[in-house]
Amino acid sequence: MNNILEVKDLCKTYVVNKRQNNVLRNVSFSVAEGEMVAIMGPSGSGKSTLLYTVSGMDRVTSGEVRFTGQDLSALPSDRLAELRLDHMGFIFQQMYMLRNLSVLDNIILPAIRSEKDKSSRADKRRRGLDLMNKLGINELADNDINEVSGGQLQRACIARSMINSPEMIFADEPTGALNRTSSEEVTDELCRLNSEGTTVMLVTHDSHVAAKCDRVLFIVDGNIKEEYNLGKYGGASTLRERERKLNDWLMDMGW
Amino acid sequence: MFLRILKKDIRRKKTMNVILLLFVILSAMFAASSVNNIITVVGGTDYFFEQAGMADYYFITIDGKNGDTLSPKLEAEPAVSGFRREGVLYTNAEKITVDGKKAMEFSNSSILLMSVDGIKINYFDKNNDALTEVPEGSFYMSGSAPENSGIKIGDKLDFSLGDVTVSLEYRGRIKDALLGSDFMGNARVLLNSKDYAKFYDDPSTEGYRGSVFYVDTNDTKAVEEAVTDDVSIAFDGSHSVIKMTYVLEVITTGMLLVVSVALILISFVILRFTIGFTITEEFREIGVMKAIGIKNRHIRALYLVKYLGIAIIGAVLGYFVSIPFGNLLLESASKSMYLGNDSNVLIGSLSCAAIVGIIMLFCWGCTRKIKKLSPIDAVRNGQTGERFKKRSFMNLGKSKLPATGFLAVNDVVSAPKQYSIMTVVFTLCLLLVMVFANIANTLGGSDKMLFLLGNTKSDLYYSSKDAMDLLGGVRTIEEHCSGIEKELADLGMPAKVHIEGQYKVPVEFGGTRQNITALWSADTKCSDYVYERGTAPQNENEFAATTLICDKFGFDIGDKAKITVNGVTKEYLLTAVFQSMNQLGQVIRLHEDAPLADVTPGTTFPAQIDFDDHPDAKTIEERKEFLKDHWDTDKVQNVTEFVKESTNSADAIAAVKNLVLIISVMIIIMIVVLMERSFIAKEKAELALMKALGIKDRYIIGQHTFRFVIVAAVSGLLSAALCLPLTKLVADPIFGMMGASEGIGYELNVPEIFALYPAIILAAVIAAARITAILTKAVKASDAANIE
Repeated sequence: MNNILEVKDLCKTYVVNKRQNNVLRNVSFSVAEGEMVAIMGPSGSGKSTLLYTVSGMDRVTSGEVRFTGQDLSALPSDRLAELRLDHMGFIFQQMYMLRNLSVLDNIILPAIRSEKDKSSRADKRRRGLDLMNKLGINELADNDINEVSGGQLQRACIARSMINSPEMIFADEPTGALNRTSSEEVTDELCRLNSEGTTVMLVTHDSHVAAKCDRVLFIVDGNIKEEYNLGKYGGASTLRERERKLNDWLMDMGW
Repeated sequence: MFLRILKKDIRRKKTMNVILLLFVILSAMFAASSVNNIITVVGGTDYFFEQAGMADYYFITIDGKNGDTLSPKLEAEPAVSGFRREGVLYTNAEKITVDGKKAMEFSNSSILLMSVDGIKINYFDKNNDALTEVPEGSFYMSGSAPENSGIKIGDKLDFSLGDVTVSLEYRGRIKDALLGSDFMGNARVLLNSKDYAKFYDDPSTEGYRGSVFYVDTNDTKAVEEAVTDDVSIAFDGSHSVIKMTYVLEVITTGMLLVVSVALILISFVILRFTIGFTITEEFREIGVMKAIGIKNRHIRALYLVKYLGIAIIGAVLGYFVSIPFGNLLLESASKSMYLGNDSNVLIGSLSCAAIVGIIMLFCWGCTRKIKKLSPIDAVRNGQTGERFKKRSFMNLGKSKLPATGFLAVNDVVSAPKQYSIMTVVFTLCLLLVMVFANIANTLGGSDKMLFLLGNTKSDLYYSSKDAMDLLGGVRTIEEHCSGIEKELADLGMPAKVHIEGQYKVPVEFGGTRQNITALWSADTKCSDYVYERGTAPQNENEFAATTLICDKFGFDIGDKAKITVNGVTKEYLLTAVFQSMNQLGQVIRLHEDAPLADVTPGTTFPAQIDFDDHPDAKTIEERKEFLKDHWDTDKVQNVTEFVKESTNSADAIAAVKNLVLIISVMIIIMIVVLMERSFIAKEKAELALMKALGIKDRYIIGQHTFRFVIVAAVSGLLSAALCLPLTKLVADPIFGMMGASEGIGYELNVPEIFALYPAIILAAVIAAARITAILTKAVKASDAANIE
């Protein structure tokens, strides 16, 4: 299987008040097409920075990030924006949406903005409604974002991330602000998308969520300390079994 | 701790605080200078009159060969406690030359020459010193004509009258309380008695003699009635009428007061928005302060101290800037008036203190919002969970608008309050410019103004060098017009020529008898003029009167008044009411058959030329230029030039308009920068999200710019709808003071009002918004992870 994402010797340094903060230090890994990868690690270890850097939201200080073979560090910001719009999807911990748009309008905005997608606005709207239908939130289409629950809003964010049929979804603690039931629904949805062929990379603190992923990267002090391969979820081992194995491994990592 | 929070706030919101400070400075500067100026100019008239030793009632007479006929009547009138008479000689600008060419452009009809030994009031030089002597071979002059024509102190000018020509050196401008205002139709030249005698003693100047009377009385009505039969009176007016002639000086400062009020209002709007925005932005800090037990009033004090600081610094700086600015504005008024300025410091300080007080009261009201914020806001990111109000009624999926346009429109309709504040400010700025432009355009050549000046529309207007002969009785109007007609016919451009004259006629009704100025021409029909109501006089024994004259005498259409015309008194029927700015609206119009042909007019308008072949505008312009060369004068004008020169204030108001336009553009740019910066700060999360989703910077900048374009467009439409009603509201009282008591029709220059100014404002808005929106680039997609 081809690698969709290849990261080599990635470094990210922030300078705050003339003090250098090396958040990522020579990180190297790759993600294969159709894989579902979780990034775990203690607070401040650089998980989110890694996610934003490899997804082209932030520039690398040094090293190489290749997404579908393209070196992100060599791309101008407009090209990076196009890449994010047409080939990547994003889900954040906080359910960020534009306040002045309805739930459906928020979902279809990336499709309307896409220069690649030449379909009519009505088609895009229909596609947005289909996605909402799949995620069980179709009745919220015309609602204001203040009128829906956190779980519903996060599912709407997933729908938005899917509207342009991206090759890969990046999720930063997508269940971090949700209760157990909502969290379960959102994770299942990501698994479903992954089973349909979309690559997923997510940052999480929750081993229950991570247990549904194929592989877990454990990051400490800006370095991938070790990775744990769980294999495809839905195989012979039950979720409880995967979670137990993962927790054991995490304990070994000092989690 | 408060100081630390304050310091942090000032550093963090540097641009907003600086812009706010600028608004306060501008408000304080305008308030201090214009309040001060208006008090100085309005009070200054009384002060000037007192210093000059003016009287209660004034006459200017054309004595000619008949000599002074008014003095015996004044002596005989018991209501007159005393009077002073200055002997003068009438001339005009055509007779003042340098190397044979006209030395100065002078819009007014006559210039009064007089000896410094014959002065009966005080005249002042530029240093406000009373003028008691004029060296032989030199002269002083009132009004701005020498200065406007580039004449400098020391320049030699040739004065010709009759057969006498005397070369005199210009020594400077005098402040003349009676004739010194721009609104008065005459200027005065003070000469050494020996130079004056050279003119006066020559028999050829006998027809140009006249007098100026300063009458002390407690009963002006009795004085008016006592002299009604005296045909030598060219002008008469009470103290209040003369005071009114300084209206233009008052109007200019008054208009700046209007600008300053608008600016103060705009400052308040900006302040209101900034405070509201700051408090909303700082819900977390305020919530935390409340959570740890800091009382509302202490939190409120934190903001009040900051705004008090800005208000005081702004007011102090504004006060100091107002001193040179106020002097600059007063410069033109102080050239013609002796102004006392004792109240400068006190009034300026009080105005600035008032600005600080009003701003603080306003802040007090705005910071009430602090009470509503609770500790929960700090915990829940300002969301209380109770807000279920739908923000927008628009639908992106169903809209035909491009995404950038949709998002901008949607943002505007989703936050109507925020954008309506901006709309109000932009509209106010545009309206200010439009109102001044309408007034300047109306005064600067409107046909509507022509009728208010007492004239009909003609191809050309010509003030001949010999027009003074008409007032001296040397020639009749008919003879004068025939001469011009013959000359034009010889030049191959036959035309009808007529002259409007002003005649003093005694009018009596209901026990009131007064000398009133009658407008009359034998060669125009009364029906050629515009009337407010009634029908134009059809017969010799009919007349029309202005609203002010109707009010003065208490008559109305259908009433009959006794009018003495050419020595014959009979009853005339009032058939129509009209408006006029002649004699501040105190005129009547007599029928063309009235027997005035042989009567010497008190004043005449320029000769009006109507070519027989009805040429087009281009040919009229060509003929105008030809006649200027032929007659060696600039006083051949088309209708626009004639009206502009007659009103004599269009340029001053146009200058104020340009100043207001510059200020408005500056205000709008500051507001756009302030608002856009605050939008960027407020929408950082959304900006980061859009970028994370892959929306390009140029679309985001476009969306932000387009919001302001929408506001500017709505403001343009609102201003277009409101500009005429507001012009009437503002300018009608001003024109009312000049005599047009029932308001006038304003000249609306459609391309200028509806295209040029909105386009200028729009360009400023686009430039400011686009440049400021570039700051959105500073928000990175990865900031989506860091925003709380």
